[in-house]
Parts: sequence; structure tokens; C-alpha cells
Amino acid sequence: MTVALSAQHLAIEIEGRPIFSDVSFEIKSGQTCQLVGPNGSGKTTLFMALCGLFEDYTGQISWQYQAQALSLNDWPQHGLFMSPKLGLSPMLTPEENLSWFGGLMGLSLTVSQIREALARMGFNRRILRPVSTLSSGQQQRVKLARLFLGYRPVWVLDEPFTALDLAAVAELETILAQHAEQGGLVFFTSHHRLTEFTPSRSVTLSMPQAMPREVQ
Amino acid sequence: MSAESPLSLSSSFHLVARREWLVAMRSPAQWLHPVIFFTMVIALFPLGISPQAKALSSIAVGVIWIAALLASMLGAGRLFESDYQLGVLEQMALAPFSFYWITQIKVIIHWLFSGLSLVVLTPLLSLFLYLPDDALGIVMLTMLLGTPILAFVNAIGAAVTIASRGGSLLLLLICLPLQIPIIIFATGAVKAYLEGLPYQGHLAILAAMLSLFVTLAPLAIGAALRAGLQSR
Repeated sequence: MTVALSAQHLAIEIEGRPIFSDVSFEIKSGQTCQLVGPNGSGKTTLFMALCGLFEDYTGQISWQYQAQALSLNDWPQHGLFMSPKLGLSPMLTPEENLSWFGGLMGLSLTVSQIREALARMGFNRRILRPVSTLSSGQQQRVKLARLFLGYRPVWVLDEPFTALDLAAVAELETILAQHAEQGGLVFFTSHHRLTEFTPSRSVTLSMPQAMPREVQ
Repeated sequence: MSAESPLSLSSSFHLVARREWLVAMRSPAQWLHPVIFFTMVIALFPLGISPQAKALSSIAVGVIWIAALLASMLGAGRLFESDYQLGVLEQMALAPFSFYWITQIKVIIHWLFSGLSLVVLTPLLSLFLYLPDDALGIVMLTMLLGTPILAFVNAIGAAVTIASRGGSLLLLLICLPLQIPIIIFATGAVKAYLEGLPYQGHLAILAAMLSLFVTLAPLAIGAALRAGLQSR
């Protein structure tokens, strides 16, 4: 199984303000790629463009699966995108949230599969309280448990390490490295110093020079 | 990791509906607000105008419908707000499961809580207004046809204004013109019925509007929400 993601001369402007321009890269199965750039350099916007949530870009984005081009409509079956937002319903328990995600992903999950996914993120006991009562680190773990609901070769993770304790950060790094070893593709952002693995490559976004239009 | 078992459309449907149901069950303030507002407005009319049957029964239908329309607009702007802010909406937009069904289910469940409860309360509240006894059936029928249309109209407004700050004024301007025909045909049906004129035409138009909104509004809602997700 091979997946590949490439972008040529990608540029995004929002309301006439250039966010980044001329970004090109190619990432393949087995690689972990870190997206690097200062705050406000458009990392989240780039990720949203990659998974089809942001359409107002110039340049070319192409996904390939088994050497075949994927349209953005096929994307959800092969990829998993986590934005910096939590994406959980605060009134529901972790298990209810994950079972809903399973439904969205088109998976029929048994209770034990959901508990297994939660256990991999360090929940050894069942939590029957709503997500809103959990700490932010625990909420982040519930969110990350989605990685284990069903196999998706492509992981696009925006700030997955936010709010995690040191042990969980190390564990997540191992999980990302393992996913790539097994033929997956991981594209992520992080402001943490990574200790458990070195990303196989990185893409850097730099702020474009202030354009005359912005000075105006 | 265990093998994936693909899910049929109906089970996906069930899981999405279950989430909306649970969220509504556990945040009762969201849908109790319009219900209490509806009750209060109707209860205030006998106090504010006159407790006499003659004065009240002539305006009863209009009062019930205006109260229902205003109640349905309360909190309408918040229908997608928390999902948008928490990032739940972008996960919905990314699902292989169609956005069309998700938004449709969401609005229908919202109506079951905040709209259907108004219909259920109407027989009790109509006593406050001396609504003519034989009109109750047709008032209920117009409410049953009309309040889901209001829910879909408000959902379009909520979706269009999702990314704009201070969108509630815009929401009013978008929704009100679409709601006017509903109130005209609904109260028109009741008046025609009470005067012994044919009223089926009014009901047919309401039913046609309902089917139009149930089938087409999710397309507009989905497109508006997708556009809203882009502007952040």
C-alpha cells in the first residue's frame, strides 16, 4: 500500500493578504514530515487546503493511492485530519464521541474496539463522565484516540502534542513513527522539541515579505 | 488493530442521529428557552389586552403563530455555533458520510425538541386565548406543517451567518422574508376554515413548502457551512 502527497507552487492569499507562496513538496508512504513555520504563517490553512476544507488556493495539490490519483471526495476514506480544535462534543462521554466518529468514518465499532482505542491513549478505566469535565490533556487524549478507530494511511495532524504531559508526548511520537514504519504517511505541526524520533523531512513556511498592498 | 467493518448508510444515519439526540437531551436550556418564551408570550396576552373571550378569540390564531415564529427564532443562530467553534463541524464536513444528511438530521432533531414541543403545548395555551374549539385541530395541523419549515429557514440563516460576528441582525434580515409566507398561509388556512371556505389550498401550499425545504434546504445549509469553514 502506498500513498503520496504532493504540492506544486502552492500559494494562498486571504482577502488580498498573501499567507504563503510557492510552496512545493512531495511526501510518500513511510515518511513523517513536519510542517515548520512561525505563528500565523498559514500552517493550519495549508492543512485545510490539503484535505479539501479550504479551496481558495493557487497551485496544485495531488494525492495518490496505489499510484492512482485520488480526488478530494475519496480523501476521507484514506486520510484523517485533526485541526487544532478539539472536535469533541462536550456533553458526550469519550465513548459516545468516538462511536459518533466511527459513524462519520463509516465504521461499525464495537464497544470493545472503542475501549481499546481509548486504552491506547492511556485510559485504563472507563470514563462515564462528559468530556467537558475532563482536563484539557485528557480531552486531547480522547481526540487522539480517533487515530486508532480504523486504519487510515494518511494522518494530517495539526498540533497533536498540545496539552499532553511529557509521557504522553513521548508515546505519541512513538505512535507517529510506528505509523510511518508500517507504510503510513504522517504530516504534522508541532512546537515541541521532538525526542523519540526525527521526522524524515520537513516543509518550511516562511512569512512572505510585506507586500505593498498590505502597507497601503 | 481489528479489521474494519464497513457501515451501511442506515447505521451511519443512526449514529449521527444518536449524537444529535444525546446533545439535545443533555443541553435542555437550548430548547427549553423557546418553549418557555412561547408560553410566556401567550400567557401575557390575556393580561395585557383583556381577559374577555370576545377580544381574545378573534386574535388567538395570530397570537399563537406570531409567538411560535418568534420562539423559533430564539437561539436559532446558535444551532451550528458550538459545533463550529469546537471543530465538530469540520469533522462532519470531512466525513465520507454526506453533509446533506448530517445537516438534515440535525435540523429535524432540533425541531423535535424545540418545535414539536410548541405544537404539543398549543392545546393547553389555546385555552388562555379562548381559541374557538373547532379551530384547534386545524391550528395544530398548520403548526405541524409550518414549524418544521421555520426550523429549516432559521437553519439556513444560522449557516449563512456562522462566520460573521454580530450575525444575529443579518440572521433576522435573511429569515424574516422567508417566514412571512408561512405565517400568511398558516393563519389564512385557519381563517378560511372558520368562515367555512375551502382551506385545503392553504394547507397544500404549506405542505409543498415543507417538502421543498426538507429536501433542498440541507443543500443550502451545507454549502453555507462549507463556505463558513473556509473563512476563519
